[in-house]
Amino acid sequence: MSSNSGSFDRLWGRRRAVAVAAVIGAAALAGCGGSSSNSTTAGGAGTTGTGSASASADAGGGAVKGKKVVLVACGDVNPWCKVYNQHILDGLKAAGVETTYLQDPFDPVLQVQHLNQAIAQKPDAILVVASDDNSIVPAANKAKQAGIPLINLNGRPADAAVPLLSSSIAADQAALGTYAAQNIIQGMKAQGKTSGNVIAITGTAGTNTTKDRITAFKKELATVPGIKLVEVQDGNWDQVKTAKIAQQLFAKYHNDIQGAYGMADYQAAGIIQSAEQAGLKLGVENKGLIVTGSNCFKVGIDNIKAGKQFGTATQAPGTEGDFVYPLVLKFLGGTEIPKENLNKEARVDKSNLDTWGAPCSLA
Amino acid sequence: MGRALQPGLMTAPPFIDARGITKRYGPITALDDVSFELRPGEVHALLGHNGAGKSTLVKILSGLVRPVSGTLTMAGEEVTLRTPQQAQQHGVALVDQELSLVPALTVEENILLGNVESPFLQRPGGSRAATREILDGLGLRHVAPSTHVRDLAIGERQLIEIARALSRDARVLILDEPTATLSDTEIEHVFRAVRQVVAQGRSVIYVSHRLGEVLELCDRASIFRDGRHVETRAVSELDRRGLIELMLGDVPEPSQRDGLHEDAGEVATVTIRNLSVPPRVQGFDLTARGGQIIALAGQIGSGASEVLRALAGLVPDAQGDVSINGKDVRLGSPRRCVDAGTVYASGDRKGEGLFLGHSVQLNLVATRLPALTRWGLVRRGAAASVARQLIDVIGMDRKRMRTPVVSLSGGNQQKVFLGRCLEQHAAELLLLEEPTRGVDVGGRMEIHDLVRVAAAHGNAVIFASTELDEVLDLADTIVTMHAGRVVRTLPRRLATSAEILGDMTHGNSESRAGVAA
Amino acid sequence: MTAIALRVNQLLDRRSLPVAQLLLRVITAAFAAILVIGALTTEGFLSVDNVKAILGSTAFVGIIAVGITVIMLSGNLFSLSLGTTTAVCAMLFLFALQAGIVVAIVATVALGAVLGAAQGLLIGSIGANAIIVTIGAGALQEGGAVWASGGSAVFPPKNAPGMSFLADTILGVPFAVYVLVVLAVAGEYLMRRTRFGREIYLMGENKRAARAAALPIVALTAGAFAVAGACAAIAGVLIGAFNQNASLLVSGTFTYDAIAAALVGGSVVTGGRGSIARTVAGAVVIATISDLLLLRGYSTGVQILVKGAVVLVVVVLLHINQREGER
Repeated sequence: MSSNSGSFDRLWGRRRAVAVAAVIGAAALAGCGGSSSNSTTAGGAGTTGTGSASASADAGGGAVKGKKVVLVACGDVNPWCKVYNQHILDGLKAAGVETTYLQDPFDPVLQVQHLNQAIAQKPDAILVVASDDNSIVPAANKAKQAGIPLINLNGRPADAAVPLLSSSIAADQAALGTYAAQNIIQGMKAQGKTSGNVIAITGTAGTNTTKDRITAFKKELATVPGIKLVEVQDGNWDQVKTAKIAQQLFAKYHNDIQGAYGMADYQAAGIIQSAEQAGLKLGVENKGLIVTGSNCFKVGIDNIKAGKQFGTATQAPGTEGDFVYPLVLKFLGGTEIPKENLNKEARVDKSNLDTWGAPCSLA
Repeated sequence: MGRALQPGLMTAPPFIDARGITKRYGPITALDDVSFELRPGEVHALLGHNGAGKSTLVKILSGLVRPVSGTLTMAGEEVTLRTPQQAQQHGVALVDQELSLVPALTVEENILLGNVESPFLQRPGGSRAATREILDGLGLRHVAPSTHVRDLAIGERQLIEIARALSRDARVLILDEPTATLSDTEIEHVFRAVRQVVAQGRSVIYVSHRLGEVLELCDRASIFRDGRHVETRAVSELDRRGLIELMLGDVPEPSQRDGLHEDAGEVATVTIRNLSVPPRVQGFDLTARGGQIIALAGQIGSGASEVLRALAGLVPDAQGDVSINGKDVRLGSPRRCVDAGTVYASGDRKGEGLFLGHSVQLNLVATRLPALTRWGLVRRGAAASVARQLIDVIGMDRKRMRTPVVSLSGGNQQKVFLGRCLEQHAAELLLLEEPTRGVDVGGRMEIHDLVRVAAAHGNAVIFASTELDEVLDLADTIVTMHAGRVVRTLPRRLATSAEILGDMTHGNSESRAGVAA
Repeated sequence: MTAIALRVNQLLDRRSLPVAQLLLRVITAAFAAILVIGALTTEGFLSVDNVKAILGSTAFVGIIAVGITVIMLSGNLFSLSLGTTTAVCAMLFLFALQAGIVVAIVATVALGAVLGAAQGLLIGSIGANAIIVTIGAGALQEGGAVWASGGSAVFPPKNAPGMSFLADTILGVPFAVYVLVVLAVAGEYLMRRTRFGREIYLMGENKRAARAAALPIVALTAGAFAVAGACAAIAGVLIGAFNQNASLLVSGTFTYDAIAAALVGGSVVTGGRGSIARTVAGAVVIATISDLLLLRGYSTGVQILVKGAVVLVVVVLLHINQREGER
């Protein structure tokens, strides 16, 4: 599961509400005698696109024109997902691929229904951003039996799903964790420190995304023996929750914290707010707390500019989406693609904002 | 008057023998060293005001509460009842006055429900025949066991409750106010059922405020006062006056109504023409004036309650030309009717009257808040003084002001409820539904006095009642109703109880006279 | 006084105590003991900073819980859309900042109140089930927000005018905590001293009686939901200022946390009983327990589990007490 989209996972209440909305929406459609299109989506804002006339000639050319792809993913209510999905859909449509977009705001139950609907449509491929690493396995089995290729997007798939997938196109989660650790090490170094206490507040614990990042983070941080990771807490991709935990941890350690890792930039922002409220100094120049994220949002870029956050790492939604669709087009055109494709990520700090400031500010 | 005891039963060992029972609720002693015995084959009345202790005794015998001290022997065996189920296993079945049937289930299912002897999934054939027999015995020949309870009238439901207890083969049946909501014919069925039960050697504990029923049905009566057992007597030795004396300690004289008070201010004038309350009531006409107390006398289903509800604005599709103090009232909204000057006191004081969890004070001023409010703030001093005034009117101790209403006895609850409804100085139309339902003799007299005073101050009072005694005691004008229409209207002084009863039960005094002859 | 005496007497009256109640009392006592021992032995718990942290983490949920308490007291169960209203209001607030801080705050609170009042109007006038209406209304609000924002997060305009005080601390305590205190006091006053409050209590205790007594049921219901919507909007303003961005993600678990706070505070979902002060106490208790578990290094799973257990114990205890009281 992706961090950004994963932030939706905390929305227990909303999930249910949205599921109800979907039901109401479906009922309304049926009641009106309108088309009971499968593109009826969670937010009621589904898009069924057919390729535009100006299909690009490359990437399989005419071979992909008219092919059908269903994207089952987190929906437009999530700002990161919106950009990510839009880039994928636009790229595919431009090549003449017919796309259907089924949105589940990280509701695994709704997603399984959508996967079943997708399989019933017999498309040429199904793309899925798993709402839950494991809950897609049964649907993946079905797709395999039906002979429909299933491509996993964005996060590392569950081990049980791997043999059932045609391919996986994901962000390099481990690299994102490594970069976060490097940010902390470099930030502390810039203050002349090689030792100190670090806290990490993660995305939803137990998901591959969180596991991969925190494992790599720990490993990289361990290269400097003086830096101690004193707390790892589950912030559940939630800014307010992250802020609360940070506040309590600052109190617990009597503000003796030198580095803090908020897994997504908005979590880093929550830590920054709490630090300010607790009266901690921030950033290299103030000889204060070094804060890092590990996937970028506009709020993080703003904080880096303001000197409150040392750095972050990419996984920018547009860039990730642009990595996905050419591989999908290749696959549709009949070219074999590797079972595992990891996008090349980058570490972001004040020095390379010219490059990453804009793509990171889309969500 | 009382049924002659069957020979031999007088001397039979008691089935229930309770000795030295004490029960306290906090500082309040509900039962104080009470002893009670119940013999096989007798109908035993428990009498006393609300709060005298009879309900507590019933709860102890049916396993709902446990006494602080005392011993309980059933069929010669000393028992401790922790749950109603255990009481049931010892053969004690309680028929509660609060209906506990499940409306969505059938008669048969309700009868089987919660029966510890027979699990829910039992052979339907065997139980159906038994159910049929019990229903027939209760005069419910027309009710199929597969009928849903929600489709039955309230009186029929009460009989089903009794059927449920009988189906458990209970040796002791406790009936708590079984006839409060029943019509005369239904009451006859209950009586017949009770007689049948005791003829089989079982016993019945009969709790009722209706002294006539006690005198007609019961063998012995145990009288309670203030948590103490006063006396147990054979009913045949007693009459109505004797019972009241034992219950109250003395017999208060009913105060005479003095008509319109001299210093009454404005006097209400009410005309009702062609009132219809679907589906039952059609073409109801009535004129009322301040100072008048009019009874709508009728059994359940006569339409009397429906008329009151319609005048209170609680029936959306009621129609008719109603005018109060010269102003026309459009029915169908409680707000409009209240603004026009009606005050309604529902017969269901717990469900539709009081705010049980709140204090006496808040209950008394609940409908007066707009007048006690300035800039949205309730003026506390004014609210307290109005509440004091009202609590004095209903004759309750001012110390109870902060007590939650739920902890008061039924009679006191009713007084608080009526206290809230009785406006003192305005010419209004008071609509009282069963003003003394579930209230003991003493409380009833006090409430009747309150109503008379309210009338004397210029209010017009219309009350609905199913009880003949109350109609004759309180009303100065009697309107008898049957099957949704008015049978006749007559002044109290010209009414005889036989006529009124005939009108209420048959809708026609002539035919009643014929029967009597 | 007599009520307390009565209560104490009942507590001492062991012989008449049902086993279940005794058990619950033991559980409660054990719970309190664990809390006290935990507080004394946990590093960093008994510090001024930690108390501030607990208060800080109570603020947002507490403000929403004040609103949900008014709904509960009115006998309309609770709203399941307050979290969404909070998110929508946070988005509107950041957007409206262009027009100045005062306009933004006023517009946001007005929006919250209107959203609440509309739901209350529907519930009060046709007697609809509050849970169903608020689920539907939540979905509508989400849909509206996605449509208006195009699904993007909303950011404050550059050099947002004078917003920083909303996220500041005064004497080391977050501004939001002061807002909660003011709201709780004002709310208590509203419920205890005004006609509106008193009639809400009455209606919540017995809706049929309120109707028969011609209390203004529709207006009261709309009012209760409007107050709740306004509270959610105030929380939205503070969260928007705190997060410096807002999307529907803001709604989080606020709805359920606020309900839990009201329940732990001892309010009765069926209405009429409870108070705003008790709800705030409930919110503080939950925050304290969460904080304790966090400081002792328990996982999020355990924290959620304990929170659920506390809610359950309180609700059951309350129910048993109530039943006992009615005998």
